[in-house]
Amino acid sequence: MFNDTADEDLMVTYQKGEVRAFEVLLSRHRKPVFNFILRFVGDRETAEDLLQESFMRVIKGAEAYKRQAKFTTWLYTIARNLCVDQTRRRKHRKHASLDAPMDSSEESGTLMDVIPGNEMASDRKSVNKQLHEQMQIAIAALSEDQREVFLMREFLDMPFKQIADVVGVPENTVKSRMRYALEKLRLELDEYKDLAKVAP
Amino acid sequence: MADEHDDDPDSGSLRHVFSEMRAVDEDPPARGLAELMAAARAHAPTPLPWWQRIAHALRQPPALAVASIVILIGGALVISRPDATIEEVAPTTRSNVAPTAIPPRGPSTPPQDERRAKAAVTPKDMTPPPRPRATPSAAGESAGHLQAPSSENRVVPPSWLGANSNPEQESAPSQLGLQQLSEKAALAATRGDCEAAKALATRVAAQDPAYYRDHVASDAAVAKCLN
Repeated sequence: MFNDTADEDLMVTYQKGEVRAFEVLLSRHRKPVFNFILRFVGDRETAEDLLQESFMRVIKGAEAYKRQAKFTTWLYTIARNLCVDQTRRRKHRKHASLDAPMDSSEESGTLMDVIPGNEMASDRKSVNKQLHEQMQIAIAALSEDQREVFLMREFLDMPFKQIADVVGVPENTVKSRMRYALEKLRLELDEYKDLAKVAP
Repeated sequence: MADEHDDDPDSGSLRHVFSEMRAVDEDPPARGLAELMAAARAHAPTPLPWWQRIAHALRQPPALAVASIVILIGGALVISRPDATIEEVAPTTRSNVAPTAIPPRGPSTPPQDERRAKAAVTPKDMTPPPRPRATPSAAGESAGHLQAPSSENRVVPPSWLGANSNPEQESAPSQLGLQQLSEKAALAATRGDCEAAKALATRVAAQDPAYYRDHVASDAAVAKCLN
């Protein structure tokens, strides 16, 4: 029924009391928002909580939503702000270190464990896994400003203008942050350059 | 295009990795989904009844703008045609009274309708004797006076009652008339028009013999003519 309806129209429909419209919005955006948060905070459990909180805020703020605003800009602004708050809280608690456990559980590995050695992985699947893990670490090492821009641009395909709206900075600043982020990632992953070329 | 990647071709291999990472995006857990839907149901506003929806639509700026324009245009039309409004009222009052109050009759017999109208307006003890109407315009005036039986009309007596109603007011004009007559008589006598002087003196004498004796007969010129 609402499959072809624009996000903004769905939101307006939900404002009129049609819960099915919200269900469609949830099914459309739950996965990308979750992965954005997961890559931002780097912790699955926290990402689940923040995902839940993001949509709760959408529900509570639905009445104030205006049709003129792009729904994804609004949604990712909420999610991004929650992520920023979370990382700042965590920063106060402890500084992440390479040999600190990734999760709160004792059994979880350290960041050092997931960074592969220089020896080539035997099969392609393993190569990809190594690359992805290394990339995840490199993304986590980016500054908060650069990371959010990079994630929205590369993983959500957002235009620079929309990223600027979400982050609340000029478009040129966003572009500049993106350039720095890519530069940093290239340096971080330089030793895996050949591996990346091999990857299908 | 402004929105293109601002990077060099070397990042192509990096992008390849990004797209692969995207392909293996994790699914969020089903936990919390039911909770979200329950919250969505709880917070969903109940659909408004039709009259509230209309009221809501009218509160929107475009509806208000249209209403304002309609009121402005309507007001301008009403203001630009004030005569039309006045004329609309005036003939109504005239047409109600005039045809009945001024029947085409002779001046000696007051119309029955007029008398009835006067009786309705004037208290019984003030009912005047029927008076002949000298001209149709006077009748029209009177008719106009009668057409609105307001309290104002009941309190103020008709103008033709004035002569009997206030003797004090009457004496002043009469003195003035005698004075004028005697002055005219004196002027006529001075001019040598004794005929006119005599006639005027006779009128003064008829009205007030004492005044005649003191003011007219005592005048040398007039006395010369009278003699």
